[in-house]
Amino acid sequence: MTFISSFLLILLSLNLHAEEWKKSQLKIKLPEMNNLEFSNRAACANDSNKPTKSLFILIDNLNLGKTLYRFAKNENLDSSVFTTTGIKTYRKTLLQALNTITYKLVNRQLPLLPVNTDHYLTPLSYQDLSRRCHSLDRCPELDIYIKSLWDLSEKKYLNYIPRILKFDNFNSNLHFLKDEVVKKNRVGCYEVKKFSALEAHLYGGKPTKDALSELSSALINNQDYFSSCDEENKMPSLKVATYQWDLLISDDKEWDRLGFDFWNSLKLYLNYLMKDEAFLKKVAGEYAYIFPSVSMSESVVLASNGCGSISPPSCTMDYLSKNSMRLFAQDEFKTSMGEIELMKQIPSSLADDLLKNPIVDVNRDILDFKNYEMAHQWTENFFDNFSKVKGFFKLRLLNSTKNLFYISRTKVEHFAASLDRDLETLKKSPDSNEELKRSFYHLCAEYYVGTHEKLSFLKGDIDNLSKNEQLKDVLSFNNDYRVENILEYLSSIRNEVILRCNRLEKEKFWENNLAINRPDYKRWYRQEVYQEKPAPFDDSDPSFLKTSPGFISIADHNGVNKTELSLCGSASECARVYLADMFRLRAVSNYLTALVPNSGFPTDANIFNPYSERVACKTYDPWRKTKTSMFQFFVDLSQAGLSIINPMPVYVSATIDPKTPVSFATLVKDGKVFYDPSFNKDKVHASLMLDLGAIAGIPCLISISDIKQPPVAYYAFNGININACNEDSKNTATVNDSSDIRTSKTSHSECFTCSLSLVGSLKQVTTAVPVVRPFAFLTYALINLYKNMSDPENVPRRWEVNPFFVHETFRKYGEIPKKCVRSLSRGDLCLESKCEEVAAKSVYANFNTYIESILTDPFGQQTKIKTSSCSKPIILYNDLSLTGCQMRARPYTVEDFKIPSSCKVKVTK
Amino acid sequence: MKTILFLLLALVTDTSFAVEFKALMNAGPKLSVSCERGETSCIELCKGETECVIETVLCRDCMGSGLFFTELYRSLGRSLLPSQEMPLEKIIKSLKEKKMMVMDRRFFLNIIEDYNSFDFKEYYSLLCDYQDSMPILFAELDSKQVPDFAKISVFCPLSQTAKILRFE
Repeated sequence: MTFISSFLLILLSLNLHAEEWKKSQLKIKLPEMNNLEFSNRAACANDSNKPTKSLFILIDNLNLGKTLYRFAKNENLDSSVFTTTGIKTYRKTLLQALNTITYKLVNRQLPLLPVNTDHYLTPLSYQDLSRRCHSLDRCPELDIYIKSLWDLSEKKYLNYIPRILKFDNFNSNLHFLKDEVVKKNRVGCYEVKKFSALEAHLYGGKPTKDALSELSSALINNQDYFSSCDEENKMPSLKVATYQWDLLISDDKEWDRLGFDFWNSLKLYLNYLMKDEAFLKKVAGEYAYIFPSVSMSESVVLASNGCGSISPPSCTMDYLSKNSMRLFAQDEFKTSMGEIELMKQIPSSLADDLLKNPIVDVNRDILDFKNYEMAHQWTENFFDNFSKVKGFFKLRLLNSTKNLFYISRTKVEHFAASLDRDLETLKKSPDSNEELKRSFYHLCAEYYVGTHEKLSFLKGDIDNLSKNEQLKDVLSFNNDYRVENILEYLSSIRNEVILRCNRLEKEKFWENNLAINRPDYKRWYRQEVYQEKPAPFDDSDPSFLKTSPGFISIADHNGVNKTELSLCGSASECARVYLADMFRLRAVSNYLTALVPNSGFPTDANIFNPYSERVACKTYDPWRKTKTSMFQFFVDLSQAGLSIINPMPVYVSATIDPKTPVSFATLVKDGKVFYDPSFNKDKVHASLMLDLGAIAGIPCLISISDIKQPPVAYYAFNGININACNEDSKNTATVNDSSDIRTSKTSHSECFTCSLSLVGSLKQVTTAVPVVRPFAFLTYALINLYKNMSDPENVPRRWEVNPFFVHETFRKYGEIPKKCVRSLSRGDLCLESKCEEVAAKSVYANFNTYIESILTDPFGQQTKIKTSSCSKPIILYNDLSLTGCQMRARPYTVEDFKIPSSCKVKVTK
Repeated sequence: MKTILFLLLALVTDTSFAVEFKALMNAGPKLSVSCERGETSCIELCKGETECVIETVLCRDCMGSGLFFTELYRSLGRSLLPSQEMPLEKIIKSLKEKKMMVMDRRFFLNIIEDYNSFDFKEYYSLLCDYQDSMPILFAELDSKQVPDFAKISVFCPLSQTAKILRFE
């Protein structure tokens, strides 16, 4: 008895000495921040196909600021106050619009407007509008449709779904978010002041002790790093703003199903709401009249925070173009502009770039956050670069279309006659017309190169431009002018030029001495033929014979008098200008969506994940390594079984296309597998399929390797082996993964291999005694699987960190102990015991308070939790024995706690 | 043309433009219209009166250095010049349908050119004969309130005529 009493006394004293946790300075409810999702390369690539849960909202207010300033000056208002308040109001209005739409979507007051309108359950009117409107942002009918839905959502109904279903045949399962997909229907919104370890998932693959310590430090000193969007703070920058906007998702599966439709709907409703008079008058007051003129595509960028996407990745020019804007955030942009494709007059296509660089960095601070002390400095740099390039592209587009327009007004016959006249003059006295002669020489050189080798892709790209609504607007300065005219005219001019150039070649006209200066060629020619680096933001070209009036002139007022400005001095020069401007116009076409935006939608991009377009364009397969490893494993296992019988007499045809995933079953089905005629085909086939089992259907990617020899006629099966090339290791390169590709400038890609070779590696094993063989194969299979699956980058791996749990763990220990790294990286809390963790999580789930200390008695009967809201501890009675804690999956409820009557702890709703 | 219309603007002079804006901030810029000889369409626009001040609209998604304003302000008075006459009834009709954006020299959405610069003043005044210092630009907007380059005209208060602007 005495022993028991002393034991209880010891317990009591322990209670009195329960260690106090560090105080929290958090003003933000951290549970309203999403978990940080860390991933390696393959996982990040794979996650690009999933909808993001978190956004960075980047706002550029420079144009708005300038406009408001002018407005205030015109009105004799205090321009500083009017401009500052206007910018603050715009940011508030935008965030409020996002929150209002989200609230209505998660409460099913508004339906989701699906991205994919080909589904058979797509609402008919919406489907019809999407098909009729060339682009949704330029569709007045869609505005009316969305307005009707919005008006419906503004009315008071208990259940909106039946009304919405009546409006258009939406589907209650496909077009509405389920209850609690978004936790408590809340979003977390933070203004980012400094980048920190809260963005650690964008910095490095696996969470380390250092990263977690930095994260805890950023959370403890959070007021330096971020603040709630609701807080009234001084704006760190008038020019730009950086927000993090998190949707708190509690049902990942449902979110993966409908998330892309959510983002699509958010953009469509946002475009409507930011122009809606009633909403703007309510939120923006006196600025309501001006805000609809703000082009969101120019001033708002929605960047997914992490590997997920806002729009479903697709290998389209639009998607590639938008993602190319990650370039503007990188520090090297300013230093390496001469190397950047978009400065070139004939840039390689965006898809070519993906093929050239299949493996790039990801999750390694690729956008250089760490180089900026303050977040707004990074955003300013991003928009500064972005605006400069946009300005350059706009001028490139406007100048080239105008020049093409003016030149093509001249009749081709007039062109031809002028060329003939000049040639006649030249032939009469070539020595006294040196400049004209050089102009003709350059004309021929440029047209030979430009129209023969380049016209094929040029035509395709220009055809794409003809479908672009925005370009139609640009060309609308003349009612009859179309993109098609530009191409037709080039074709006519080309014929005239080439005809004369061929004649001059035949006459050996150029064999006389002629001094040719490289700088006299047009810029596109010098870049293409002489690999000259582009001069950043400079499209200027040398010009010949620019006398006034020129061969083609345009009207110009120089102050008082109406004059004519020579566009090009002679027919030969005009033909050269025309070709050069064709290339410039084509160069713009690649980047039109991102760099010449003109819509009501904010620009969205997956700027942190360069694999989103690589996966979409199939230049990187995140599951390739896993699939091939598993395939190899099954093959090895089968070999273990097969090793006691003879090799199979099977052959397979070599006519397999590279880059096409092929399974053995497909090869059989397509008649590409042949059997030794001395065996019974059916029996061999049945036996083989039985041995292969499930692996017969696993696709094996046929890749290209470097080899000078032509491919062999067929692949021999030896046991279970597919190998396209002979066994000479000098000539073969089995491609396991894109990262293994070695490029060789001297060889051509001609040989296909499917990476399933067992012959070389198993030679020694196959000579072993029959009884040993199966075990040897089995061991080999397991070792091989382990080796393959340990690939740090190409086998998908993920880690999850709950920032609030990191914060609480730090408060408990005063540091992040090494022992906690693993559980924190699993998204868990790390306290002294499982029971403490269950108790703490139950407190967070039920009360709006911070823990100051926890003490559990050794018998697990009760846990006393001291909180910041009460002087006395709240007590949790229940099965908190070690087994009880381990078994408990859900937190306890409020009823399980004994709360002292003096305690006014707030219960979470 | 049987009727003669007079469009008098609230935006024509620097000071009147400012005063109008200040008084009617939430509704934006306005255009003062005077139907001098009782023209029917003009009176309809003024809802039965011979003089009125009407609200005008702004283009959407056009703020800043977008293609429209970039091209407009760098070509205005240089290669973008008045050509054939624009019937005033058409302007009245578009104003009635709220499809017409009205711009004066100090138009606040112009952040491309400094409206006080000597060159800009010069180019702007050249849009009208007789060195008319107060031309008004009318840009017709489509159903999405996007301006159309082929539908910009200039109204010259002194001659009381309007002309379509064309690239020469």
